[in-house]
Amino acid sequence: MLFNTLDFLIFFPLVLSFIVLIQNRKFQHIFIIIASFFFLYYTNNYLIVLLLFTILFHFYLGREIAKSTTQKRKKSLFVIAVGGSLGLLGFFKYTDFAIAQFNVLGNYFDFGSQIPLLNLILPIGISFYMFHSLSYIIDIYRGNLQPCNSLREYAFFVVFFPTLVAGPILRASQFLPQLREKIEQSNTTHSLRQILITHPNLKFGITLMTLGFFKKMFFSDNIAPFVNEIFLNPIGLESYSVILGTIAFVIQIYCDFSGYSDIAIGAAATLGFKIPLNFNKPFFASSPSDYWTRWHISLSTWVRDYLYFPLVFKNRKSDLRIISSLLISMILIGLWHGSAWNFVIWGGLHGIYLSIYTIIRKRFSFLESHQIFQKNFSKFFSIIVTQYFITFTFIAFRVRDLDHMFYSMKKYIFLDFSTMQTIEIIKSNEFAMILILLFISLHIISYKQGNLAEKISKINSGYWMLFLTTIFLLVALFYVGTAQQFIYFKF
Amino acid sequence: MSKKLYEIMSRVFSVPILEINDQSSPETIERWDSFNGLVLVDELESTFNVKFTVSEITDVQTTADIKRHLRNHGVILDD
Repeated sequence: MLFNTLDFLIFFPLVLSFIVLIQNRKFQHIFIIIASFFFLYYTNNYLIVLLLFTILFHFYLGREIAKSTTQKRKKSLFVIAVGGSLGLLGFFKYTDFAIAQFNVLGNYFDFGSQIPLLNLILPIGISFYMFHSLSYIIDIYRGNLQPCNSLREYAFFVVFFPTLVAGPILRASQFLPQLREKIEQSNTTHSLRQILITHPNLKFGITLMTLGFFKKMFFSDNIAPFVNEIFLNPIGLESYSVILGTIAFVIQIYCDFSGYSDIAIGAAATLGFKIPLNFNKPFFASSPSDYWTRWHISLSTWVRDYLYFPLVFKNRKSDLRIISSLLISMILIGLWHGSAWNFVIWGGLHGIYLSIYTIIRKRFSFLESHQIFQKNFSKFFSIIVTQYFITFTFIAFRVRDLDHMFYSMKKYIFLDFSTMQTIEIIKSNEFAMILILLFISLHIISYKQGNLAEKISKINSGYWMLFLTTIFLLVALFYVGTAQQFIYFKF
Repeated sequence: MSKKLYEIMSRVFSVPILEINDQSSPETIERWDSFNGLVLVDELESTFNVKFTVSEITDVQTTADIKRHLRNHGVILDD
C-alpha cells in the first residue's frame, strides 16, 4: 500500500495498537512479520513467493557460511548466495533490457528474426530487499556479523514494512543489534527484545512522518504536473524553460524520495528502531563527493562498502584504478535505478564528476586546507557550481528519450537567452512557481537548523498539535485528488 | 596514544584536534568521506606499521571502531 493513502492511515495505527496490546515479544515479532507481508501483498501481490524464497535462501546460506570450517567451502557458499541474489535481481530487472539491446544489435547486423521480450513485471521492493539480504551475507562472510539465530529474526529484518518497498536500504550490522536484547552498551544477546512504544519515540516518529507527507503531498505531487508538461516534449523549449523544468524535477524527486524516507524512518522510530538518515540537505553539497554523502545515503554507502572499496582498495594509489572503480560503481548505481540507457548516462556523469574531483584532490591535496577555500564566499561558490552540474545530470534521470535528453542538455549548457516562452510558461504555472520559491526559501532557512524533526518533537504538546494541524490542512487544501505513487517504487 | 590517532585524523580531515573523540564519525566530521577515509587508512598503516583489510575498513563507523581494529593488530591506543 502507498504511505500517502487512507489505507496506510488505518493500517499503521492498527499495527501500533496491536504492538501495545501484545506484550509477548515473540508474538510481537511474528505480528510485525505478518503485517509486513500483508503490506507488500496489498501494495502488489506479485511474487510474494519470491520474497519468501529470498528470506529462506539467505538465512540458511548465511548460517552455513558462518559455520564453514574451510575457506574453500565458505567462499563457495558465498559465491552461491551472492550469485543467486544478483541472478534473481538481474533476471527480473535486466532481462528485457538485454534482449532489447540484442535485438537492436541484431537489426544493425541484419541477424534476421528478433527475440521476443519476456515482458517481466518488476516485483515491487526487489531492489531494496535484495540489497538488505546481500549486506547480511557479505557482512557474515567478512566476519563482521553473527548470523541470525532464528528465521524469525532474519525475516523481521528483511520484511520490516517501513523500509520494505522503497528503502532506506537497511544494513544488517546496523539493524540486527537493535532487534537483539542489549546486555551492555555495545554487546547484545541473541534473544530478540520486546518492542516498546515510548512517548518520545512516538512523538518524534509522527513528526518525521508528518514532514514526509508534507514534502510528498504538498510539494512533490503539486510540482509534478509542471515537470510533466516541460518534459512531455522539450524539443523547441527555450533554455530557461528547460533549466526551470530541471530544477523543478530535482525538487520534485527530492521531496518525493526524501519524503518517503522520512515516513519510513519515522514509522520505524515509533516502533523504537533507529534508521540512519537517507538525505542530509543535498542542495548544500559543495562537491560531487559531498553530494553523495547527502543524497540517497543508504545506497551510496552500500555501494561504497560492498563495491567501490573492494574494487579500489588493493591498488588505491593508481589513478586508473580509482577512475575505473568510480565509473563502475556509479554506472551500477545508475542501472540500479532502472534498466534504461538514461540511467546509465546519469550514473556515468556522476562517475566522471567524482573521478575528476578525486584526481584533483589527489594531485593538489594542499588546496583543500588553503585559506581561500575556508572563506564563506568560496563555500557558497562551490555549492552553486556543484548544484549546477548535479542538476544537469537529472535531465538524464528524467528524460528517457535520447533525442529529448540531448536537446535538453544542449539547452541547459548553451543558453539561448530567450525569455518570451519561459515567461508564458511561468504565468500559466503560477502555483508550481510559488512552490519552487517556497521550497528554496524553506530550505535555505533550514541550513543551520540541524535535525528539524527532533526539534519540533520536543516542543510543548499544544504547539506540536498546532504544527500537525497546520501541515494536515496544507496537505488537504492542496491535495491533487488521487494518491500519487512514489517515484522510487518503480526501482 | 589516543592523541596520536586524533592528530592523524585532525590532519587528514582538517579539523581541530579538540573536535575529535571516540564517537567521531563521518556524520560528525564533514571531510570524512571515502577519499579521506582511504587517505586515513594510508596514514594509519604507515604510522603504526599495520595492514588493514577491506573487511576492517568497511567495519568502521566511528573512531572507537578504528581503535578496535588497531588493537586487533596489536596497537593499543587507550590512555
